[in-house]
Amino acid sequence: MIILLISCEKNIPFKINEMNKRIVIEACINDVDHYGTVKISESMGLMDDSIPPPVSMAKITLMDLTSKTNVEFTETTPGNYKSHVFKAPQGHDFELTVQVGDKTYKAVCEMPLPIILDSISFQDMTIFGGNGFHTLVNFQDSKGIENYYRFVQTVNGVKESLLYAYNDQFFDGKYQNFELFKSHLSIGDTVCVEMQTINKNIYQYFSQLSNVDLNSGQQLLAPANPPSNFSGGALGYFSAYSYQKARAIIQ
Amino acid sequence: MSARFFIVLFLTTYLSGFSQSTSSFVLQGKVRDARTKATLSGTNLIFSTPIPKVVVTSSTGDYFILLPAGKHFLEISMVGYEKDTLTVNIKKGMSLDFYLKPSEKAMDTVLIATQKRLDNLKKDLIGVQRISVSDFKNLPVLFGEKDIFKSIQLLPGIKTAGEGSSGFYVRGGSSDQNLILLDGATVNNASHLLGFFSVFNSDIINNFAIYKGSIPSEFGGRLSSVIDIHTQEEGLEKFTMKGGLGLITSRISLQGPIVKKKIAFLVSGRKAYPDAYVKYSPDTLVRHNKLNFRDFNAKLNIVLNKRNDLSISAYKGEDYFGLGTYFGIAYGNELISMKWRRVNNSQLNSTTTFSYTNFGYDIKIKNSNSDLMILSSIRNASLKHEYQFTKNQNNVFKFGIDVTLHEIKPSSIIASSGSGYNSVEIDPKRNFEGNVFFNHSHQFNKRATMNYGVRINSFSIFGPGNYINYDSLGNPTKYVSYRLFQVGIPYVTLEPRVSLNVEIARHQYLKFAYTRNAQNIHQISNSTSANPTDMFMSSNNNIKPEIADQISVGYFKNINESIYEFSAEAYYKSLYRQIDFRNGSQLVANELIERQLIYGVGRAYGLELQFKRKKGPLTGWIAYTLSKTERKFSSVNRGNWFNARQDRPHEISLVGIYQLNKRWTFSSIWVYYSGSPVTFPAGKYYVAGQNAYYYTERNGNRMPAYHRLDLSITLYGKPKPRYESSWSFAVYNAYNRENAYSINFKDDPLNANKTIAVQTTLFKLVPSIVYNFKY
Repeated sequence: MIILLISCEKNIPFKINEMNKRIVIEACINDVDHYGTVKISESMGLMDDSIPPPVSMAKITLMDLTSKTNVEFTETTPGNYKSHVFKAPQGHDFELTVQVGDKTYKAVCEMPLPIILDSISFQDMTIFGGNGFHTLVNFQDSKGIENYYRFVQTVNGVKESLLYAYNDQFFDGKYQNFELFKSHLSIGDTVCVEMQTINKNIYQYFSQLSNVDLNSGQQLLAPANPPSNFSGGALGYFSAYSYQKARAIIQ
Repeated sequence: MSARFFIVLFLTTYLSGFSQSTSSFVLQGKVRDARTKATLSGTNLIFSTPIPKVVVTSSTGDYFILLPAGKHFLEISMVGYEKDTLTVNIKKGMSLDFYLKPSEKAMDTVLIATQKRLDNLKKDLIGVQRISVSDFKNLPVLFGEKDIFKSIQLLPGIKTAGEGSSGFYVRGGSSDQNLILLDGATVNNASHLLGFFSVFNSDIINNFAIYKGSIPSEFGGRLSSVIDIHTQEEGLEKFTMKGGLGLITSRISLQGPIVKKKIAFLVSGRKAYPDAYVKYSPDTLVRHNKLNFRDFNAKLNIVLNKRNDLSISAYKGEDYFGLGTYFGIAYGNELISMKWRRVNNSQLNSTTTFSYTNFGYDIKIKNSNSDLMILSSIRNASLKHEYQFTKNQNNVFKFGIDVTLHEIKPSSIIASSGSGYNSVEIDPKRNFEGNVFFNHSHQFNKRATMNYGVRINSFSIFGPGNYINYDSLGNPTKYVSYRLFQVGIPYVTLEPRVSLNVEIARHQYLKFAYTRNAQNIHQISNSTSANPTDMFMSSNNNIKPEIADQISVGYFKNINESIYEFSAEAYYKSLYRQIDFRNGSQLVANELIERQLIYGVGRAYGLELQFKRKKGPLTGWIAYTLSKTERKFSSVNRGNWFNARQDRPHEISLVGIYQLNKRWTFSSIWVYYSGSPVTFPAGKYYVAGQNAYYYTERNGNRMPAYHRLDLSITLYGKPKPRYESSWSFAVYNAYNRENAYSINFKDDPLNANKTIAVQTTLFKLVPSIVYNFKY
């Protein structure tokens, strides 16, 4: 609070030795939609102010290792790829292979079991001396199983980039009114929450991604890049996840 | 007998029969302040005829010397007191107490002599600084609250852990490698208000010593330094009340006799209330927040008889930080120490100390989903028994033993039944530690003194408890279980220490030291700022004791009748079994934290120069430190040496105090240091709907250099017989330098494709005013 009262911030000119370019792959499949998406781009210099350079002409194959079936992807817009229609059953292992030029990147991910999302509700934070409303996600965690969650919130049609990735280490088997505490909402807001159950390594990816999210203001002594499940040195992740959605208006 | 001080002479019957074969006799006693009757440690008694001998009073004000029969010319000197001389005629063993009169000058000004007069150079070990709190009396301080921890950071070789932090680095060690003792009890977390203040109320501190080079073998347990702090022992004769009123802190202390000359007490309280101003914040959110601390000291000194005295000292402090009603953290220390000092006979003294220390925090979180508390604590109880045997003036032996029981309770979660969380109880970890130490101080001749000793440390797991062994990749390999009271196989560390002090020419001294230290209590933090929730770990089946070897050499010179003093010290330190964590480790509430830890080595070396002016209306010093501190871990930066967080090559401090007259004193501080190493991102990429930052090398970058000027004016009230008062006006960061506390990167709010670097400055110009009084 002293920091709040006394400190000041200013923007400063900044120069840094730039990194070598890296390929960034963000690949998602789920058990609800009958298609997968892959987004490929290149990393940038820290102070670059262009859009992330898309990577076109990649060759992408998804293989269901359990049922031994292949799915092909085609490029829809530069750097964005979409699969043909397929079904991704729970418990199946999937392998994604991305070929860019002469380089190949591979990742494997298992489709997790779903958890039922009952509803979302809202908590007026002013009664605790806080500000605005927080969304509560209501669901029953399954006991005795390590579950990993990711929540994606959309407010008035705008998807938030705030990261909420949690495991049930501290609430195994408990009914949750899980609080999405990072955004402060107002009466009249239309809120949509996508609750994903994700894999352990994808949880670790998002949890560490939020650790190095410098917008959070904390400065770590040893910040590190989140561990990608891709081989070949690509950044990003390949996530197979199960999801459910709920929508409500704050009244 | 001089008019300047009084001598009270006691001829004690029990000493009268004592004699040495060479017809030498014991002279012993205490040196006290003539006004307050407080004992004075570090006072020099110099006997110059027929053979020169020097003795320095101990931390309890006692001195002890063997002298041949005959007349001796004696000079007694102490910083802040009038020096005087007298002749003592030794015919038999006797006890003499001396009462020194505070010098007029010292009452109004400060003597910035961190080492006392020329004789100190002769007496002290290398890398030791003894400091009286009055030395720092008139220096400008942030928010007007005097803080010894802020002041010692102006000394060479001691670096601040950052603005707004009471942590400090000594010769390349991290901030958890400093042993901080208050009246003999270990202080595990010395910070208030998340580090803006230290837990030590400077009104009641008598003196303290900092050991950064050669550490005497009676101390151990931390690698880099020992800060040995003693509270006052005044009040055997009369009552005094002291206090101060400031904008965000106030304090008051009272001391006096319960039974005159037999039992004296001290009580003191301090409160900080920065949240008092929060009410006026324009932000309604901020208005509900709370941030404050208070602390309380009490002490009892009991003179049992001529040979025995007892002192009991206690401390309790509590900090509170709360956000609305949904989050609150309370943390603080509890300390108690009991010290029994006994003069066994003319050659043997003993001290027995029992101490108990407890640092803990509890966090309360209450919202719609959770109603829980997170609790953690670190405690220890320790018993130390030591002897000092003075064989003769040239040979003093110190030896003793101490045993300690440690208990660390890692953070446990206690959830209410309706809460969305489960309670998680992590078993406390207990350890048993034993030490045996021995030290011999041998004066070869007038010019050379050698000090050597050893400390043998044994540290083991104390059951019950369950432990898991991990391999170098963090995979479990073995489960080990200890029964109730079962003691594990100990880590035994031999810690030899030796130092040499030679007067190479008149007023010029060359000193050398080698010290090995072991550390078994480790503090682990992944944040740039010290937090009360930083985790403590003790050595166990996976974590081995940290070890440090240090060699240092120094040259010291007194110039112009000790008006000036010059010192140069160089050191090289090797650190083994240093602890760090894997990149991106999750440290909060992690039961299996040990698998995140990695072990490596460190090295630190440097040169410390200091030039002081100790007398006259203008006093002060300039200090410069050139140093390098590195660490090496196989899994960090491809196993190469890298700059440690503490690595700041250049560090300068300039301190000046000018006493215009008895009422006005002006002082200033200027500090400069190189920026700390930091890990900045090397690039960015777009993932999960946001810009993510890409990191290449740990500590591959450096913060901008830091510099700051502070000024202060102290106006003393017109001298009144029973009442003293002063006003202090100070300006922190007088030229309003925007020093970087942190540099963060974020998306430009106007253009999400653009990244901006944002520098946070903690304190721009901060004025303060404090009223101090003494009654």
